[in-house]
Amino acid sequence: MTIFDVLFPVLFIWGVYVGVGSLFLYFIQQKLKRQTEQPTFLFLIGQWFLLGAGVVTFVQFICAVIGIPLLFTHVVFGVIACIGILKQTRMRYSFSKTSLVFVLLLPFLFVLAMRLVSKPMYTWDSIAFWTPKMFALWQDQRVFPYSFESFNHPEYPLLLPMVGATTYTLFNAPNEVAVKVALFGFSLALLFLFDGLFSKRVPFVGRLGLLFFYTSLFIVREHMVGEYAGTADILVGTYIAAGSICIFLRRPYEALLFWAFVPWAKTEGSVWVLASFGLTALFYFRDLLKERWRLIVPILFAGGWMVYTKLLGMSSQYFKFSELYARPWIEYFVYAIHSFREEFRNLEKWNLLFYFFITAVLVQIKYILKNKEALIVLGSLLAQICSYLLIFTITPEEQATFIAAAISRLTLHLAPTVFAMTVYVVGLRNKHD
Amino acid sequence: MIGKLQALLPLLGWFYLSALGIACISYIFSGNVRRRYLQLVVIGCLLAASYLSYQSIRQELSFLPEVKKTIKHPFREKIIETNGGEFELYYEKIRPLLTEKERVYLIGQHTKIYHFARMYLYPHGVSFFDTLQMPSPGVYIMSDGEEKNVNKSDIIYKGSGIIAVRVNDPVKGQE
Repeated sequence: MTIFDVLFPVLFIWGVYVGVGSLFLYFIQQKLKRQTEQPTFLFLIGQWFLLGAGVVTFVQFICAVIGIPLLFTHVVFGVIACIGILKQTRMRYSFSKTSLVFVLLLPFLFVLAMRLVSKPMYTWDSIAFWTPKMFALWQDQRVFPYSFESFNHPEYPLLLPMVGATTYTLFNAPNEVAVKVALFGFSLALLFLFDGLFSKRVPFVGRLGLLFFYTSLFIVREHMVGEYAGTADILVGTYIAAGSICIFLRRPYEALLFWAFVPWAKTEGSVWVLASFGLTALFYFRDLLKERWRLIVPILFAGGWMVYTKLLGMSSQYFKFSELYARPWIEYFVYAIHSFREEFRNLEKWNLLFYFFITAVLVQIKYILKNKEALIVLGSLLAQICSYLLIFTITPEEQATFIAAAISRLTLHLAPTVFAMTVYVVGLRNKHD
Repeated sequence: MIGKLQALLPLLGWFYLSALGIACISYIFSGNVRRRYLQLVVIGCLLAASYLSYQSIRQELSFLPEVKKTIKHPFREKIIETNGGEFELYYEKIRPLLTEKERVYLIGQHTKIYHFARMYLYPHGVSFFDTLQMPSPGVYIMSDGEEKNVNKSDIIYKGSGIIAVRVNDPVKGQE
């Protein structure tokens, strides 16, 4: 089996996500009684893909719990996706020159894709729990309470394993290369969203430069195609950034929908959901009050897996508050802060991203304080970093080793949003002038 | 006194020192000079970021010769090249030999191999022991050096330096 055999089933999976996402977004916009202007057509594709992937995998999970096989639900979603795509073909979208950015970016994306398909998944996290969960879901086609108990982190959610298990099901074989290709769709979707956000703020050459800058970041490359492809961290970063881009474009309900899938990608995302939902409710109180019944949808997506794991009595091994009493925690806390400082200034991994971000926030602080969208995202970023500092302080594992193994992956959760926010914040001055 | 104060400077780091320097100079100058100066700083930072991006892209391109070698390999070969023979051994050879709900015990195997085995043999449960012991019925997988310690008739697989032994009666198996 080569890349050419892999391509068509993966395109089918992508098509299902895009089709279901488009129909879902269509109904939301109908219910909200507003047709928001979309920055670019590719932006729409990115939105559909990410929403569709979240909705499909979540409903697959619910169905699998009540005994409906994954293959059946994916076929049903295939039919729904066809309706969604047919509905969209009746709409008129203009392919403006904005799409040219991706024509120029294509050679580099092709180089990345080559590395993606050259190897299966091989990092520790992938072997210890993400890939085994895909394998178990594919074998069982259902979710049983004991399905994951023999693997590490049974409490970790199922966005990535569902995508992988669906891919395995379509191949009827455990094909990890195909899973990696399917996951590449999430990174492409995020690039489309970035381009949409920048399209009205940055000139053509600048947008191209920004997208090159982001895709060339070492840790981003490694999670998209290299060592860490097949771990869920890039998905956490993707959904956080997708929601943040929507809030920058003043679409709070869509932002909540994207953020709802963050804990569906990885448990660490629950802090983001609490912070971002709380701040959005605070700043958009009147808007969201009108849509209060519709808020059930994102809350269901955000809390579904958490409720399921609580009912089964699963809990995270990292939240051991008893460690606070058993160690000089201030020293552990200080060490954790220093670790983040070292991580942020690691030029090889992150280029000047965090320097640009910190400078932009400091220089633009008076505009940020007047801008509720920037405040929501900045507040949520701070809450998320604080939660990582807490985890690093109370972790039952040896602290230095744990931080060395995890800090780049945790920083990746925030990096795409930091990137989008830097560009957004730099543009604030012009808007207010 | 000055020496002690100088010792504090490295603590600030080049980023904060540079930021302080830039802020001071832009405070001293005004008007056009200040704008030009800040433009120069921004351009300098953008050039530095572009250079680092270029380095990163060059690094990605340097992987190409290695990538080209494996790109056309079939999936099965890729997984064997990257992760060793566990896919072939546990998924293709041992798994079809197992009966329903049979438990598998690995003897003296590395943790990484244990992770592969419990994945490729799912839904069969997998446990591991450091030394040879056969406390329960099931299939025991060990290095072929242990062949002399097991009943030859119980061996269900032999190859790649390991043997798999089916034990129905643990007491008899341990003899």
